[in-house]
Amino acid sequence: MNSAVLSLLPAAVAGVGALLVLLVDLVMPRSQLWQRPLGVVILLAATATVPVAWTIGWFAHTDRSGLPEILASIGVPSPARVLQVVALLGAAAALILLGHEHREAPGGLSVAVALVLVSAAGAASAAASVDVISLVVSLEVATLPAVALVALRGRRGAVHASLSLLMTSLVSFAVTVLGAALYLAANSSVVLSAELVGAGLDARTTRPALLLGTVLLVVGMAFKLSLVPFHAWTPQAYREGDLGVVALLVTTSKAAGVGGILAVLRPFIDPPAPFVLAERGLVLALAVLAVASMLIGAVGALRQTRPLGLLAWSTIGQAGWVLLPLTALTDAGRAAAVGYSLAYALATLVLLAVLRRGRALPGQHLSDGPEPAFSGFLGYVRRDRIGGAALVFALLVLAGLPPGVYGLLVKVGVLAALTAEGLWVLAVIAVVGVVLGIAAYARWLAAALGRVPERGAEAAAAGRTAYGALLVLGAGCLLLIVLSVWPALVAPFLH
Amino acid sequence: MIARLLIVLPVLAAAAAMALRRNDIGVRAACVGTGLVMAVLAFVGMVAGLGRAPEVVSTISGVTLPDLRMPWLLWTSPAIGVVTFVVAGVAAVIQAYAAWYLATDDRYATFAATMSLFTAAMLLVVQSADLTLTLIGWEVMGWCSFLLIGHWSRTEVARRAAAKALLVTRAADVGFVLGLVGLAVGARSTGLADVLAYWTSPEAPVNARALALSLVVVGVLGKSAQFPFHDWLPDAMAGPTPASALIHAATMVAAGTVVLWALYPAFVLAEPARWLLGVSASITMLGAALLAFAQSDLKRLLAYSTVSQVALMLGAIAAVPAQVGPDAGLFHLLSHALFKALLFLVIGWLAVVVGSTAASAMRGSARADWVSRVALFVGLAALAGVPLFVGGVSKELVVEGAFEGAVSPSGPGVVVLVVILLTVVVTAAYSTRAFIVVTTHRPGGAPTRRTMPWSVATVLAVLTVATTLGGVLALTGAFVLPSSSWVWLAISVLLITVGVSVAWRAGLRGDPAEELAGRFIPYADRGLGVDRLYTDLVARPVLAAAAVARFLDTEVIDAYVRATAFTARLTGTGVVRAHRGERPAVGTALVALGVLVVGIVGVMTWS
Amino acid sequence: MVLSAALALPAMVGALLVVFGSALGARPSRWVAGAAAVGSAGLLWAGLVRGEVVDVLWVPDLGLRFALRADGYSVPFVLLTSLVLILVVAHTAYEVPSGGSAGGYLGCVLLVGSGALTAFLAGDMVLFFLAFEVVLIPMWVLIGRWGDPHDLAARRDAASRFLLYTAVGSTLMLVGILLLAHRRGSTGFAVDAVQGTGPRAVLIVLLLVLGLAIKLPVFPLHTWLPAAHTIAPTGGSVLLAAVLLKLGSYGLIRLPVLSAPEAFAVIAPWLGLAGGVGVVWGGLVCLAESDLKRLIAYSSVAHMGFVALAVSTGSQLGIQAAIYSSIAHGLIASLLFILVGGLKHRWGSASLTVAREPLREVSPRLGAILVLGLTASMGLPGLAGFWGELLTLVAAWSPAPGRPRSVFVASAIIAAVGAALAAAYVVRVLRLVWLGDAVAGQRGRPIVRVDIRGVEWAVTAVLVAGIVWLGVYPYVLLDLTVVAPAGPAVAP
Repeated sequence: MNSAVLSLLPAAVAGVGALLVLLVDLVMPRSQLWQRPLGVVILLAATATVPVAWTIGWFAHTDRSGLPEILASIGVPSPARVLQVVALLGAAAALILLGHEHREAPGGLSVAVALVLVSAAGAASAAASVDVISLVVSLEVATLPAVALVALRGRRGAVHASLSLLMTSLVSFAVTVLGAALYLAANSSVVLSAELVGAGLDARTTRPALLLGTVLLVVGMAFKLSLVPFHAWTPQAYREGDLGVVALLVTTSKAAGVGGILAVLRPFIDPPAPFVLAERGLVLALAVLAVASMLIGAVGALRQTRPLGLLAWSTIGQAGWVLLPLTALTDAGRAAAVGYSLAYALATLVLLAVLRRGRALPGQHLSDGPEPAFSGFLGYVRRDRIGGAALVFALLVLAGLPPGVYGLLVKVGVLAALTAEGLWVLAVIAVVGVVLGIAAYARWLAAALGRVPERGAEAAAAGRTAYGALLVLGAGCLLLIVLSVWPALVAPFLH
Repeated sequence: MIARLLIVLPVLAAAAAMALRRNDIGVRAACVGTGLVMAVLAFVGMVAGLGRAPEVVSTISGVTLPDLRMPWLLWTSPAIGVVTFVVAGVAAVIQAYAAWYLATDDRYATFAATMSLFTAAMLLVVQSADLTLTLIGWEVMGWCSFLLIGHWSRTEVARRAAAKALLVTRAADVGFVLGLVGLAVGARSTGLADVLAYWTSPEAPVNARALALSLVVVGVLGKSAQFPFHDWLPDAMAGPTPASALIHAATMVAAGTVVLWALYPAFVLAEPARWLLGVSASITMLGAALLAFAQSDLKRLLAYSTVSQVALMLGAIAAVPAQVGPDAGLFHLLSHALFKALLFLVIGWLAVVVGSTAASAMRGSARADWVSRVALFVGLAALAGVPLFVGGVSKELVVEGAFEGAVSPSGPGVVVLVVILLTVVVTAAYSTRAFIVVTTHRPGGAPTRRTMPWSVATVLAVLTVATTLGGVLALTGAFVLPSSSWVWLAISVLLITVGVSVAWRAGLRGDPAEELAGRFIPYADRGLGVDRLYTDLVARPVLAAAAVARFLDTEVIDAYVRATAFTARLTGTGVVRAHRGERPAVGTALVALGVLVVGIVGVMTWS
Repeated sequence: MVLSAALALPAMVGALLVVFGSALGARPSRWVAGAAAVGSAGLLWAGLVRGEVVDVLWVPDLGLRFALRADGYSVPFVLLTSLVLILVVAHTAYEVPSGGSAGGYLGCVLLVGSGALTAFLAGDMVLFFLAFEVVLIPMWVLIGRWGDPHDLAARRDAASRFLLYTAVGSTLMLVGILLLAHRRGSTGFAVDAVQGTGPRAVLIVLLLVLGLAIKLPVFPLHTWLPAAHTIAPTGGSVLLAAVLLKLGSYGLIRLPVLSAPEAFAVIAPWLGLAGGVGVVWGGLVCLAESDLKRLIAYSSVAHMGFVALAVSTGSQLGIQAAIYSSIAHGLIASLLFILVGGLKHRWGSASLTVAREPLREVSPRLGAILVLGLTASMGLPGLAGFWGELLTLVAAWSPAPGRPRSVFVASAIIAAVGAALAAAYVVRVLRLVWLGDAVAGQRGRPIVRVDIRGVEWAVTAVLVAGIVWLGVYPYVLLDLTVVAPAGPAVAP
């Protein structure tokens, strides 16, 4: 069996799981208790297949008989596996954090859970794609459920947001398909192979089409990653989607996007022979996207007064950071990008879990009313030790400051990848991004570390313990701490 | 051993005094006792050192850095031995005097400790064979002078005078430090021997030498209160009399003479530095003598007289040619130390009796007791340069040296010689005036008699004897002195006679100053408005610059920082506002734009 | 192992105190923190005496090693940090700043100390950077949380200014470090210096110098410092002055000067000039400043100008002068900030425009120590500040070969003028505070006639002893820095 085929195993598990949920729902349509546990179990099972598929694929690596020759030459690199894990576990976290109002939504919890599973399946498949067509398809499978999930909340704003999301998704789909078409036209093959791309670039006639195709594909991915200027849907979607949907967006859908971009850029990152001429244009295009996202996202985040607004805009900025090392078009850059995505996803999940705990002043739960502003977090560290410590730690990981060492290390990794390729201009611009980012996160941080206000403290302390949130929070923090102390744990899987 | 002890002992005494500060007797024992012990030690050292070659004394072991050797050595020679003895002796006497003078002062301990430290610093400068040690002593003296002058800090005058003394000397020290650094860098060592060896060698860069030594001279002018830095010294009279006596007589203002004397072999080769020193000393010498004559306050008279006399030492060093050597200036230093200490302490005693130092108030104050009359006479005679008194001997030698300089082809000898001769006349005149003022008939009758304490009497007696007989130190052979000639002696006597008689004639009708220069007195009392010049030309501009700097710091330099933050926030607001409309069209428009830009970028750069 | 333990101890205890400190109470937290600080110092001493070296591969992707080692350049800074850490902890017995629990405060202090110690011991450039960053957040919290309770806006401004300004500096430095590491093929300090003055080498050095110049800080990148110093609680100011600024001087020596000497020579004249101007600038502002704490902060700017000038000369003597100045400033500024903090505590503000009874009359002992601190600050011989300034001038007068001597001599002259200004502002402060040149009109609140005693007295006495010791006995420090290797450090 080929590794490329095996790597679809996790996606298959998740997809089948979605069907399973819908089937069970047919059997017992009233109950709202089993969907989430089942979904989580399915996702964990899918995650477990990742190393299995990997190991088998690794042993079977030499056996390529029975496959088209061109397909056989492509192995799915291990970063894709890491992204699969992020997508699947992120989806599990999203299930846990999913708000209660989905019970009342049309179709009930079962539909929501199935949508999450489908999205995870799409993302897992996108990361493992080796050809343009499957990539395009799996990306849409990964993102469209999010549109539905936002819409399912049923509020007016949510409908607006989902409409916006849908619009941009469709446009992005169009762009991606256009790119795929150009790619196919230039290469006469849908396979994302270094040899084919090399040959295509060598021929004068096919080069423009191939290059434009690649760029358009990247643009298509940029939607999923909410890179500027394809980010407009992000703030609305984050504001209107509930915490679970946001978790899905920051993990599964991001992993799909990153996996897609890696797949498109793979021929350039692991080329059989360097093609300098083509790289220049591509690097510039990537750099423009990355820098614009990093800076605009950060300044946007600077003006936010509410956590989800901050997370939305910081997502845009962080997406720039994920793309930035890829401008180096090296293996180190890819490793940095995946490492960064990992840190980002974990830290954001922890923050979402903290929000789900709902201990902010003045005692409102997120589902009940508007989310609290930063001022609601005044003295949070004193009032909620676990949540407070997690909040501070996760924010520091995002800001890239110790004790969030892993957040800092991945930033160093990004800059190291750039400087190694002589892209010091980008590195210097990134300094601005770092500082703007710190400034943005510092406001929430300052509130949390600040003095406890006189009134309202006891009201907030009465919040109900959300064990699911605690689980996500604990697992996320634990992983981040382990990675901070022992970054070598994941390092081998990033290459 | 003695050289080291002389520096360590007063430091320890100072520390002991601070530790014992609640116990006046303990403080007295520590400071005065140490002073006397030091005087004895210095005497032993002097006698033992006479006739021997200069030798080097190690201190704490030096340091050798890659680019700089710092041996931190002291040295002794017969001349240094004599100067050390005089400094230690005068300091001891002044300490004893201070014990009486400040007996009722609640901060006597601090004062005595500071004086002790001050003495240590001066002895360090005198015996230093290393530029670093010189600088250390030099700066510590400056700081101690601040504390001593500002001792009576409850009065505004003292606070201001102390600050002025420190700031003026410190400003000049910029030159001193840079000059020493220049000398040390050239020689790659701070050791005096290395420095002299390098800078007197033929390969030493001429301009650098001139520059470095000129900078050193600037520092000396500041510390020695020479024009244009002289104005701090008269104001420093706001300090207690023992402090004035110490600063004027044996230490701070004379330190420059010692430093230049030690650097003389290199200094004599630096023509610009010699001229700088010679001209400034000449201006100071005569100008300060004239101002001294017209002071309405006797303590300030003494202050200007000090300025003038120090100028005499420095002028001698500037003027003398290499073959004669600078010892005449050094000898005048110790002579001045003796008679000026005497004068200060007498005037201090009289001022305590009458309660003021103004000439009008002190009129006839010495009529009551013969001890102060004699002491005053001896001191003033020495100041005027009457032969055989120590001042007469040293002034004679300075004149001889200046004459040698005048006839040699280089250096400011002629200028200095002429000014010295003029100054001799004026000095004789103001000395006479001071004597007349203090001893003539007092309008309101003789002052109430006060018994002079035995300690003051002893102190005055010792200093009187020393001033009378100090000239014999010239015979010890410790100094290389110019040969004296009868011609110059006669000329000096003649000039002194002129000065004395002019003042005496005027004195028959009242205060000679009022008779001869009555309209000048108000100007002289204000030091010709130099203080105002300091304020207007230096202090005000610096403070204005400070205000400007502070403004620029917060409003311009920091404005860039704030502007950056502001821009970031503004951009953020703009960005967020652009997304406020919940219309999918906005997103789509942005997307179209983005696709266009990225596509164009990609394709354009491909070709 | 011992070295790692010496760093881990304050970090662990600090973290625990930050989280659980409020439950512990002031006195137990102080004992715990004190034990951690003293224990860490003891372990460090043991590690240094044994000449221990730690070297573990930490992040393979970056080639980052957890490498610790000490040489003549780092030991002075390590010892200074240990000492100051103990003193700051001890000082809480006199005053715990308002704003939170004593435990949290002490925890932050320990974290700052641990980070700084790691930075000084780091044998790897990226580890140095990481440790550099560790200090940021605890210090930010110290300023923002325990800072001057009177003015919330000012506190917020000072804290974020510190955080962001320093982050700019450290990230620029990081880019420089990464470029340097790529060029040298290793992130370790102990690799051959980069030779040549090509544009890339100059770029590396420029980034490093810019980043570290913010930390030092060098004029005109200093505007974060006065705000931070003024607002920070006493212990925070002390740590800022004695530890954080030293990260800048140590980094300058370790990174641009030793790692790329030839390229550093290209921009050294500018750094030297900025240093000289900084001395004058700081002195001038001090003459016009009306807040005593702010004034001391600007005097730090002036002193760091000397350090910048010394470093820029690039000679061994210059490095020694820079280290001497840094250590001396660490002690002197600590003393002054503790004294001024005490005065603020007594007076209720540190404004110089309020007429108060002169310290000399009211609290003679406090007054005497203040005089000593200020005179040390103006470089009086016999006290620590003197040697650094003198050696700096000597070094600037004879910079390393290949540098324009005229620029350095000019900078030396400017700096010497600035030193005279130091005397001016010292005299100004003494007249206002110590001698009582009362400003007419306003009267301060009735003076509390409390002289310095107890813990405050002990802490200042230790600092005074250090200042005098360094002043009269300069060998130890000079010898220590003279035997340090001229090139990179000893570790592999």
